[in-house]
Amino acid sequence: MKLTSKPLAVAILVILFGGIMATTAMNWWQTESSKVPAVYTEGELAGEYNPADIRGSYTFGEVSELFDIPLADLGAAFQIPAGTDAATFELKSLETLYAGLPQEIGTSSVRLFTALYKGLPYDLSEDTYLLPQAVEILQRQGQLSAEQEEYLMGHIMGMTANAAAQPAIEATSVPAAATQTSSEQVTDRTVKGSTTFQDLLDWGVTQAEINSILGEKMPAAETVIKTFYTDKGLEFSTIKTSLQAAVDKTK
Amino acid sequence: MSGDILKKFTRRRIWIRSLVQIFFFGLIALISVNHTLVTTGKEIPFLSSASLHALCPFGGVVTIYQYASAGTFVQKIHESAFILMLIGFLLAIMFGPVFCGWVCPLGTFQEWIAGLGRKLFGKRRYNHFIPQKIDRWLRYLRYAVLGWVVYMTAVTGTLVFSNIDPYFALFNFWTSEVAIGGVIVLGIIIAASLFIERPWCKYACPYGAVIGISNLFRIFRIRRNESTCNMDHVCDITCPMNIKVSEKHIVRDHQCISCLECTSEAHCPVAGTVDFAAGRN
Repeated sequence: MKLTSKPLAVAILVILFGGIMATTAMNWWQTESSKVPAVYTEGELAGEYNPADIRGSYTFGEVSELFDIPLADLGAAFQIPAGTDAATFELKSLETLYAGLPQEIGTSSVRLFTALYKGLPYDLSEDTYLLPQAVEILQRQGQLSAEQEEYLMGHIMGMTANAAAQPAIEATSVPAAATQTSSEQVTDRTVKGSTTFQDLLDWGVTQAEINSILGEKMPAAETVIKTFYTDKGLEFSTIKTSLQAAVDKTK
Repeated sequence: MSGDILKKFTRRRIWIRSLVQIFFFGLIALISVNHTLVTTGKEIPFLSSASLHALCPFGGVVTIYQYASAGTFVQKIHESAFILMLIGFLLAIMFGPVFCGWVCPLGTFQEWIAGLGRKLFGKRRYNHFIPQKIDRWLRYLRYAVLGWVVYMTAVTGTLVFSNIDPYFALFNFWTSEVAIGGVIVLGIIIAASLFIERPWCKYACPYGAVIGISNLFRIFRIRRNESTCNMDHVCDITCPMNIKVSEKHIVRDHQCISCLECTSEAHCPVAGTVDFAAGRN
């Protein structure tokens, strides 16, 4: 059986667009995230949305709607700049907004805030930081357990000279307990917003390991990892876990 | 192959293939523009504004591991890429890598630059700069690229290929989303296309590497009838992938893109000698 160009062209178009139309009809064809987080599958919370599945592509408006949190509280907790519509502000943009801070304020911060605001369980084994304003709102809510309260006191974004330069943050409202010294940051082998590639090398991670995790050659050692990553339009939090694992292996 | 033979034929394109290629190039370009317009509150009506990552079948390939192990997709990849991958496989099983030869806008773009290269260097020299001995081994480089991309995506859980993706760079060069690595690779491809036809497809495309394997078992194949072949080597000269069609009965080369340029419908001057056909003979 021979086939010439015209029937072949028709076959290609029919199979390609037919496949797209068929999968669209079955609701399988999705070109973006569903913006519906996963739900808890066990226990008394079964069926409720799990804040741990909040993605960077969500907007504050969507988080507000999904988790029934007032948009004003979210805007205040994350100090969305005046003139910016918090409802359409994507969570992944937080990393750019707070690029100069010593600790990362990003999607994971929103996950933590949402969970504690709603009194939902959240894994506190990872270091996730919040702005002082967010902590104040959570304390006002009065749903924090002693363990959560203690965790938050150690994970309020430290105010540094860089942080003071951020227009969206009121430096005067930082609780004294939140301020970390630079020496604490150096001895703490945690990959965070201010960590440079040199820090990783100093902690014993080899350049080959870093190249392997990045999927490309490591840039200049003094480059801040977060800046390097966000400049590419990617979320720092996605690579942070892999780098932290490499650091932990050297202990 | 002599200059006389080259003078005997004029390059005839299969117009329907060119039309399909222009259609897909325009469609992807418009969708990409629409993706940018949406962020400004404007939108081209009745047209998708999907991210190009969502419309690339290779996205489906790189997320297979994560989907199998965790049931989720790699960041920026969605169900659509997975579906396109499956459609691409179905097309490849039936007709070979027609996605490369008929649909892929990056392949089309390289062919357009090839037209300029042919004018610069002539039909005989263009696409024959690299010595065959070296070229033969370079053709397997795309499998190394495929292995690296799949492995790194599995390890990091991120779309590492986006850092060097020339397809994304071609349709997003005006946005901040494009990686400098992608722009550099695209620049190299443009320069190389002046000397070599489809350099990215030949030496580096990981998706081409995947569906190129279908050439070993596809249903419709390029077949040469040895009894009527006059051995003028026109099929060899016109093949954009430099396959020696005149030395084969059935083309099983992993680089064939089913463009049909070698067939009697296009350049082969003898009717019924090089055909696209299914069946044993």
